[in-house]
Amino acid sequence: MARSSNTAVAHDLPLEQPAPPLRVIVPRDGGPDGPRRAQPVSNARVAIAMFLVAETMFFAGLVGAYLVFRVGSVVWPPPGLPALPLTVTWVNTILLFISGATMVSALRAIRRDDRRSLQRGLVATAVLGAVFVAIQGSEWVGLVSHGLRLSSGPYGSTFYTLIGTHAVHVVGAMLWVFYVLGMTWRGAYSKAAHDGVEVCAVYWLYVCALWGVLFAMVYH
Amino acid sequence: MGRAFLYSATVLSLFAMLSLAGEAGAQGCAMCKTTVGGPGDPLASGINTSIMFMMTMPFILFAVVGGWLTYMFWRSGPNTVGETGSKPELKVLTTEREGAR
Repeated sequence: MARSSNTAVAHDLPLEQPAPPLRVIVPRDGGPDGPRRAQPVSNARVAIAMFLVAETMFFAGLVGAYLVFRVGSVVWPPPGLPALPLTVTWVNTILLFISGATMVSALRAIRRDDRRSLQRGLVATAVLGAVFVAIQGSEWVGLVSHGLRLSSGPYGSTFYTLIGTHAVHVVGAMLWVFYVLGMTWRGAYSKAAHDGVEVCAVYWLYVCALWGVLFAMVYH
Repeated sequence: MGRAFLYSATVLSLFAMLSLAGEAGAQGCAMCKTTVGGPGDPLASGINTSIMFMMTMPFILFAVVGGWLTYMFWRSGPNTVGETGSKPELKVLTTEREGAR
């Protein structure tokens, strides 16, 4: 094919002189492409740790307000107001702790790459969490019918604020478990990469442990 | 020599500060003063307990999270390549271009 006079191909042009060697400062460990030290803590774990620190301080404020009234009262509960139901709450507490165990079993399952057991563990955790919230709701209905309301002085307001805030956290953790369950069905997690399951499990166990503290302080 | 002097000076300064400190009356905010009746008031006990509880929480959290992070870094071991804090070395890289030879 004929070429026009004003066009040229690469081999017609004069060769460029080879560029001078580049002097690059490379760290002794090989630089960005060299072998790196393994990251000791994943970003997800640091993030959940910071979140739990904030959550703990939030609950510390609520418990601090509760302590002012609880320790500062001569009689607790105040006369005329019902005592909190202990037996049902003990059962509820055991259910929540069992849900913590099922969450741990789910986490162990994904560490073995056993996705069926992971799904079973997550479903069991969510169901037990839902039962916990339902029992607590029925307990509240009974307390309201016995005259303990948010407006019943410090006893009612601190109880409903503390326990209600924890219940909201359980519901939030349940939604997170459902999200992780959905991601599991889409095949998102494996033995090598399951940070999503891990941080969800950490949060669920935190909510369970927090309930242990609140139960001991508020119901006894 | 220098480090020993620094330690001695620090200890002596702390000792001097503690031994020369005068007595100071505990101060409370106006709200606490008007609300709390006195040392025998149960509400004062409640407020003190609450203050102590909330004061310890940041220390506990810092210790737990700091301890956990320290443990994780300690467990991960030293660098596998190179020395920590080593100076960067100079490497000369040549460029190769097709048709340049």
